[in-house]
Amino acid sequence: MNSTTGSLFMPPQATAIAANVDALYEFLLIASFISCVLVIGGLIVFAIKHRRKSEGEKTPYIAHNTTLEFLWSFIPFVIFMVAFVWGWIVFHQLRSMPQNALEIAVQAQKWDWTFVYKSGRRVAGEFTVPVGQDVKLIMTSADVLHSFYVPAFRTKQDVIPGRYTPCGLTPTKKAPSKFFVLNIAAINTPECSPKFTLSRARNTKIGCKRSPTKA
Amino acid sequence: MASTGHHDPNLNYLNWQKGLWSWLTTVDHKRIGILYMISVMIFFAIGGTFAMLIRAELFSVGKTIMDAKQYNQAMTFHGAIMVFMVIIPGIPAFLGNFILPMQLGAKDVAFPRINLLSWYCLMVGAAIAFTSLIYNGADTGWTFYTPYSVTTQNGTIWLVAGAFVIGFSSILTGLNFIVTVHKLRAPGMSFWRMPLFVWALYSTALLQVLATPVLAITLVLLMVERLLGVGIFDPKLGGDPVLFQHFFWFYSHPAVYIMILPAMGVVSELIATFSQKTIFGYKAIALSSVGIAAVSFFVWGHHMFVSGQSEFAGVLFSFITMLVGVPTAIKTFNWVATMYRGSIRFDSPMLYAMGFLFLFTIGGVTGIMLATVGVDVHFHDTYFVVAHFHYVMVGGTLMAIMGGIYYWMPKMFGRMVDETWARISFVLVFVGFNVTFFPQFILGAMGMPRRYYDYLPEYESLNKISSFGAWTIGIGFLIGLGVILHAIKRGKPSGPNPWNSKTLEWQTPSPPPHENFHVQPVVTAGPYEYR
Repeated sequence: MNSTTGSLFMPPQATAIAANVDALYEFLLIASFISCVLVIGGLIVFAIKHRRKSEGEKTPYIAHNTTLEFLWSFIPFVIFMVAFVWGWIVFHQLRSMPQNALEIAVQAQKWDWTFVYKSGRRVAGEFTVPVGQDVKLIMTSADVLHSFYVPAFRTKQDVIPGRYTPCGLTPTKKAPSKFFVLNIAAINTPECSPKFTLSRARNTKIGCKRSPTKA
Repeated sequence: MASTGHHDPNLNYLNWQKGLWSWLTTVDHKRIGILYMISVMIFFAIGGTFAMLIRAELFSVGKTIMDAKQYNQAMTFHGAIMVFMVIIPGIPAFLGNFILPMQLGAKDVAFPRINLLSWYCLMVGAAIAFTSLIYNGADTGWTFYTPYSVTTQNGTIWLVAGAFVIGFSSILTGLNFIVTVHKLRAPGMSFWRMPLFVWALYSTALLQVLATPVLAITLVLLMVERLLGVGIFDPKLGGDPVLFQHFFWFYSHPAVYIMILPAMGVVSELIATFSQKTIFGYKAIALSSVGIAAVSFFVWGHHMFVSGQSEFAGVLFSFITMLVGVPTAIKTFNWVATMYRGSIRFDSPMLYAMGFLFLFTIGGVTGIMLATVGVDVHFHDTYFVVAHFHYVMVGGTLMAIMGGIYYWMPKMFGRMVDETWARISFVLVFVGFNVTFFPQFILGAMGMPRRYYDYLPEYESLNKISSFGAWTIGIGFLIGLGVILHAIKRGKPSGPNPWNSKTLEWQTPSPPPHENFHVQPVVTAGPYEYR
């Protein structure tokens, strides 16, 4: 993955998997665009071409067309299945836990995050990993539902009280990525959102600040 | 078929009894439909006001007009009112109540008193829900996710209790419609001669009866946990918060179809009538309603791709969600094909039907994007999801409600709407809608989380555009309200069937008499015989 630029409107890519997510996103965008052009285009063309010229016009009785109905059932089904299988492959990559990864215990709470490294180092509100290092986060919450979301990593995982939820990632670039701490249930408070990623020469450092500041 | 020979032509359901009490105790499905119309319009105005306030707050970075707590409450009430009090009862209970028995050739629904009870359930439930405002309101969002909802401010319990009572309104309406469709069809009206609006309401009713009790049980469990401290969803009490999400979405995803299936039924009626053409693929559209309803019970997990459910579960729910896309696509293609070689008139109901097709197509394809689990991880809980469900719920359901009101206005009140103003209202709503929600797809792709009180400075310009769009929609709906009130008071008399429609409700005077038909109709052909 050479580019840190995301696909159309997507954030920069800061993990290898981000490029795979974006490729699928591009496929879906193109397929969606073509579908919209066909349906909305047909709608507009028929609306113009068959507008009523005089009251009492007779219209033909066209109740169905088996071939056409088969085609417009089967073709979308095939496209949906392509999207499904591709999505499955990407999802499997997103959810695969890297072997021999750096394990970091993560605890979310209103309104901060604590990261505990294997060495016993405990850091509140700041998350630092070396570029290229496989990382496995083992996350739990002290109070309500939270969500770990780094747009540039294309990864997101709810953090649930009473459970340990894993999340694997491998940062490949230093990136001006925003780190959002979503609080699903309590929605949000100004002091918990948004939080920012800081970039350093060798490390991806995700900082947690009280108020928005440019990285 | 409908002879008025031995009946006073000046008597109809509006004037055969007089006084407020006659309305509050009525068991006439048409009057109950009008009661729903008034209630839903009031609730829509309240929910819409919250939407305007939300967009005003999001107009700029930082505090604009309210603080975070007030914002969370505005968002919660906007969602809860729009879902439970507007969109769910909007088409089935309002338009469905008025139209379904007449389309079947029946005098009323099967259980008229239960029908009135269902309206009172809505009103009592709404009153309980609004009591929440006295107790500091609620700030959980309309989803009431645990464990936050177990611990947050006291108003939440009132909102939950209100939603519980409103659920009975939905169940009773669904039960009534199922029995009515099975037992009260006119002679000659086989299932394959039922209008597609009836098919859509029938499919919806199955969902209302089978899915809503699960929500009711879930909300009771939530209240038991909160009031009695019994551990069900709160991990501190030994409960599981993800269990709540499973229960909640087991109802609330089918609820999405409770909202959209009736809208699809309205659109089928509008497109056939205003194209003056037999609907293309009648059986496919009818069966796809039932198919969507059936499959919708098995897709709830797509709301939980990042909740911690297993990878296998995520993949399975993604697959089943894709399957819902097929009957939905079939319907869309059939509607467009119906217009082919039609005789199309662009009255305001048809404009709304075309607006529905435009917006629902975008809502549909973005639904497929969200069903694709690999990219949903990024889009989940961002504005992409907000844009998607507004394209489906507002772009779909509200467009259909407006189109349906303008279409059946002559039937309900015997009067026509002012076409010029109705079209102006449509243009403002349609353009405003796209200006509001299309930028939100981009914001979501950029990673802007939903539900947030504040956002990063780089999201500000798109948020400003979105807010301008929302206010345009607001103006459009205000004009629409004026059009409806003007039509009721001063609209031109419509005659019994101004659109030359073929379904049974148009084969009786407008407004209809108390028991709908002076003579029992006998059905000898399908509902869309325009040849």
